[in-house]
This record gives sequence, structure tokens and C-alpha cells, in this order.
Amino acid sequence: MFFHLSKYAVILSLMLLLSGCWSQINFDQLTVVSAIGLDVNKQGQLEVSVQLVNPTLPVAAGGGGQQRRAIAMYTANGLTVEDALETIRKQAKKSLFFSQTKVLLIGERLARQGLDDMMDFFWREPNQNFNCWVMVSKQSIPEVLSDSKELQAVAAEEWKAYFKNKTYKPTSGGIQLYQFLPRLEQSSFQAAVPGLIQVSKPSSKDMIMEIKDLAVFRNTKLVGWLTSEEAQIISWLTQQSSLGMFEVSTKDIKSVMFELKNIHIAMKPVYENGQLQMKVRMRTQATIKTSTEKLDLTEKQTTDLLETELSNAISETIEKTVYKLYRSYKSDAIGFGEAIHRKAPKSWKTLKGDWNNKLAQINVQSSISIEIIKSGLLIDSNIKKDDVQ
Amino acid sequence: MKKSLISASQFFFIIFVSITSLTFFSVPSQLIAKVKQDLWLSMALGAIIDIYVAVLLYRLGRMYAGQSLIQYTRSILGKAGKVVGLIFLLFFLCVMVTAMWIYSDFLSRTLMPETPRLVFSISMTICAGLAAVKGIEAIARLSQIIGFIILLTSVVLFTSSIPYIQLQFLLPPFENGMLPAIQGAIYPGSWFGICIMMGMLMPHIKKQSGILKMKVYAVVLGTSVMTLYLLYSIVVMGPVMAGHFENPIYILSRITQFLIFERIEVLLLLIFISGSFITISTLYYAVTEGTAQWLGTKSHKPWVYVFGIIFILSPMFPYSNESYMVDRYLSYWFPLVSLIIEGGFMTFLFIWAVVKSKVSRSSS
Repeated sequence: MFFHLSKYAVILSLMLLLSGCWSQINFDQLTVVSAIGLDVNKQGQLEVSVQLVNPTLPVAAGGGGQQRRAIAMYTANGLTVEDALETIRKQAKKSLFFSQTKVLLIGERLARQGLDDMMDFFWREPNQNFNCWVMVSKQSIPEVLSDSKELQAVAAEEWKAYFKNKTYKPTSGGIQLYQFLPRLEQSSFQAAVPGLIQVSKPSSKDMIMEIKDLAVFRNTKLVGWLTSEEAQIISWLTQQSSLGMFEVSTKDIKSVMFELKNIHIAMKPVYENGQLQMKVRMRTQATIKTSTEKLDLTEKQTTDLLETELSNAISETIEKTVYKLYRSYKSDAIGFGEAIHRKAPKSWKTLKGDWNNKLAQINVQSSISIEIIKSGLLIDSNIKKDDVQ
Repeated sequence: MKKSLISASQFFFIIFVSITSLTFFSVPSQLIAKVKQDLWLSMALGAIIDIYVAVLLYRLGRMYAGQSLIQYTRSILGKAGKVVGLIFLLFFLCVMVTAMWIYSDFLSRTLMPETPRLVFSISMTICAGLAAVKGIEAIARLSQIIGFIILLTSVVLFTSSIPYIQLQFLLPPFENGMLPAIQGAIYPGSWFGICIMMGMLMPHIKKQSGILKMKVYAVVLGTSVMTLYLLYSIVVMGPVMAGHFENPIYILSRITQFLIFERIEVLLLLIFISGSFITISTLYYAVTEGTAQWLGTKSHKPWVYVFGIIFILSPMFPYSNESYMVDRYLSYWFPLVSLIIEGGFMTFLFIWAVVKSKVSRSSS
């Protein structure tokens, strides 16, 4: 009898659930955060900005005559990220939805001070997107987030699409939050983050932004920038991309643009006379994209010349980039330390203590083998003038 | 009362689902942070421990056909068997409370942060309790469906996250020697060993001869799937990132894409929640039937209600919010005690039973 009754009691108690759920979020109170920006203001306080998406109805659904801003930008200061977000919630009067954040923008000034205490929020917060792309901005973040114009209404969406595009991968050096966070803690493979830089155009109010260059971090601090050409070397060495464009111009050749494909690259730690060396071996296929020079690829000489010129140029750029990283910035943003860790875990244990300062003594040797492949629409990959015999 | 019977393949799915869902909720936090890329060895050793226990259970079950773990403990050890049986029952109870605690803690921290833990434990206890009242047949049939879904989604998830993996994260192997990996085996070993509930299920299986084979297949398949999950979370995130999180598999499901869908963690959780439901209801059934046999009551149903109250309250146990105590318990006391019970007690019981049968044969 008792058990019979208790069954009904259980069923009746289910009615308690009718009053609603604990964690429910209503759509009309919810705003998607498309980008978060972190910076310091002039007083040295942390300044957090969020770009909020204001969804508009599609025309077919009766949204044709709507006049709504596509985005809204809020900024607040605080001791911590959460502290500032609390203020922003009061300003926006909405609950912020971080799970679809596209971009995390870090101000250069903050990055140079170090991100030590800021990143804890991103480790802890359960509602956030580990796939958001990290960038460093040289301009003031509130301005970038509110005024930058892209073809799409929400700029952050366009930036995300740019990073996802395969053709831009070699130079963009895109890094997602889940890759960025652990690299701030590892001296063996440190973070390098693409920059978001304004194209100077003082006349118009709209800001046109370019994603270029690479901000190099040493531990949690930004120490310097690499150009986009160097960024491409980084993305090859870290095996982010196996594509790329490379321009060669020397005494013999005016200017030839190569497209590189199927890049295979390996860094190898080698000890020579007790000195740690880094051997880079690269294998790639190159096709000529454009040339200002007349090249007759049917002649072996030309092909050989192109191959040596190209491989010299690439190897010079690799060495220049790595030395710039290791000697000027003292940061291992290509993961050579990890390469040692994987290959020789025992000797890594003795190296890892003071890895940043040991980088300056490492010599780089690169050997590159290139295969030039015919491509394009031309016979012999060559344009012959009709009257020249 | 008609005895409910299940087929060998249903038994296979019960074990498979139990292993995957227990691993999903309880093993990763300890294993990935401590053993990192060598965890496959720990998982393999854990599976070997479990297979060893399974062989003992199978031999005992065949020796005392038609009797459950609690019943033949009494037949083998006599009066002392009552005490050992009680220890087994308390162990089942403790495993269930721990599993329920981890389950509701995890859900309230990740999926629904504002929902009190009691809601999770109440809903799970009601569902599992209903299943336990209905008996093992209902649970077994459900496990076939859920086991198949787990397999299917795992395969699709693995294939669709191939573009994210970086195999070099698995290097170097045995960075700090073999020892951490071998020590790490106690975590999967102790959790897999919960399959000593196999001892309670054996009398319900139709064809007795194929049980051991099914059990081994289920353990091997379950461990392989979960090892892949754990390794995937390392090769996608890297050992540093994976080692920081309470449940890296959950983070993995947030990072990777499932075909064109992003953020599939809810799907994954749904699958493993249903997996936990199978595990908890099987344990629930085992503990209530065990208690009924131990006390000699006719039906196990009253005990479903009695234990239900304990299970509902499991997230409220003292010290459950003191992370120091919880860590000590999960990373030291629980594996230790469960290995002693699963490995030690079972070996002892088996040797005793063999000696006893030899003695009785020579005397007769």
C-alpha cells in the first residue's frame, strides 16, 4: 500500500518541474558576444570591451524596413575581466552569451605589460568559446570594435572567416584560444598572435582593418612583431600550413613570384661540438605564379638557376626569421623546444630551466630541396613575342 | 517469482556501456593530468586487471551455478561469508554514491551551473529506480540501444575530428619512465572493476558458457573506445591544456566540429548521461537484489525505495565540497579500497573455493 502511494507521490512531485528550469536563458534577454577586447586604459586599469550582435530579421520574415544597428559596443573598466563584465551587463541590461564569441582582441599595451592575471577568466569560465581567434590590436580596442567596417555587418564574423580560409593561412598565422592558452605557459612553444592593424586612411570615418604581422610573446608578455613574410615562415615551421607564396628578386632575376605547395618541413636538434644546432629540412614543390623575367623552362639551366635562387632565398629568410625570434625576442614561437622535448626528453630536462636565454646560442642550418613544376596555361611557361624569331 | 533472463549480447552491452560511461565521468581528471600521453598503457593494464577479475568471477559462477556473488560467498565461506557479502554490498553502495556524486557535480558545473545538484541526483534516482524495479531485463534491453548509439557517435566523432589532431603531441613516450603509467592503471583498474556486478548478473544470463568471452570483448571494446577518447583529447588540445581540465573529453567536444555542427557537447553529454543511467540502474539492481539475498527477503523491490533515499542524498554528503578531501578520496582511498575488494577479496574467495572443492572431493 505504502509503495503504491509513494509511486503517486513521485509522479506528483514531477509537477514541481512545471514551474521552470533553473538555468533557463530566455532568448529576448540574451545577446551574443561576437568579440571581446582586453586592454589597459591610461590610468593603467584593465579595460574590457565587448562587441554585441544585434540580430536583424531577414527581409523575408518581415525585417525589411528595420533600422537597427547591427552591433553595439560596450566598454568598462575593472580590476578583473569579470569585474568589468559585471559593469557591462548593467550597461547593456542583457545577459551576455559568450559561447559564440568569434574573436578575442588584446590591446598591444596590455600585451606588453603581460597577460598574467587576465587569462584566468578564460580558463575558468564554463560558458565560453575555446575556438575564438586571438589577435593583438595596435589601435584602441573600443574604436576598432565599434568602427571597423567589413562587408559583413558584424566585423568579427568576417575576421573569423578570414582565418578559416585556407589560402590566407600561411600569412595570417591564426591561433585559437585553446592553442593560445597553453602556449602562454610553455617556454618550449610560445605564442605568436596575428595583429589587427588599421590601414591608414584619414579621410573616412570607417576603419579598414588588415590582419597582418605577428606579435611574438615571451611567456605572457608581448616582445615584438614579425612581418607577414616572417609570419609565413613561422606557419611553415609550426606546420600550420603547407602552402605559401614566395617572391625572389636578385641580381640575375628581376622578380619571380613562386607558389609553394606540399611543403614538408622538419626541425631537428643536433649537437655539434657540444653546441646545440637546429637543422631545418624543407622539401617543397614550386610553381611560377608571375614573372617579370622571360623564363624558358625548357632549358635545364634556367630551372636549375631558379631552384638555387629560390632555395637560397627561402633558407636566408628562414634563418633571418629564426635569429630574429631567438636573438632579438628570445622567444621560441616555433616550438623548437617541443621538438627537443619529443626527440630527447632527457636532455630537454636540463635545457628547459633557462630555455629563453639559451635560444641566442642556437645556430640554424637549413637545407631546402625544391622541385619546380610546370603550371599555368602557357606552353613552356613562356610568352614569346611574335616578331622575335 | 519468474526469474528474468538476459541474453549474452545484452550482457555485452551492459558491460560496454558501464565501462564507457564510468570512464567518461570519473577517470579522465586523474589519468590525463598525471599520466598524459602514456595513458594507453594505464588503460590497457586496467583492462587486464578487469579481465583477471572477470575470469575469477566466471569460474566461481560456473562452480556455483545459479547463485549470485552474495549467495556463493555465503556458500564458500559459511558464516564469515555473511560479513564478506556485506562488504561487497557496502562497496556497491559506495561506488554508486561516488558515481552519482561525480555525475551530479560534473553536470552542475558544466551544463547547468545554476541547477542544484539534488535535481540531477533526484531525476537519476527516479529513472534508475524505476528501471531497477522493472528488473534486469528492462535495463538490458535499453543498454542495447544506448550502447549502439555510443558506438555510432564515437566513430563519427573520431572521424570528423581527424583534421584537428596533431599526432606529435603523443611524443615522447614514457617521458618519466614507465612508473607513472603503471601507477595510473589503478584509476581505470578500480573503476572498471565495478564490473564485479557481473557476479550479480551471471545467474540471469541464459547461455552460461559464452559469458567470459562476451565480458572480455566488452571490456576490450569499451577500453579501446575510451582510450581513443582520452588520446584524442590530448592530440587535439595538447597535454598541457588537457591536463588542466577536470574533464578534457568534454572540452574536446567543445573544440571539435561534428561534420558541419559546432559545439556538440550537449549531444556527447546526452549520450554519456544515458550511459550513466544504464550503469547506475544496473548497480542499483545489483545492490538491491544483493541486499534482498543477504537478508533473505523475498523481493528486492522494497530496497529500491530504501536505497533511493541514500542515492538522492549522495551529492549532499559531508565534505563533498571540500576539494582537498574529495581529491584524497578519488585519487587515493577509492582506488585503493576498490582494488583490495575487487582484486584481493575475489582472489581470496576463488582460492578458498578451489581448496574447499578439492578437500570435499578427496574426503568423499
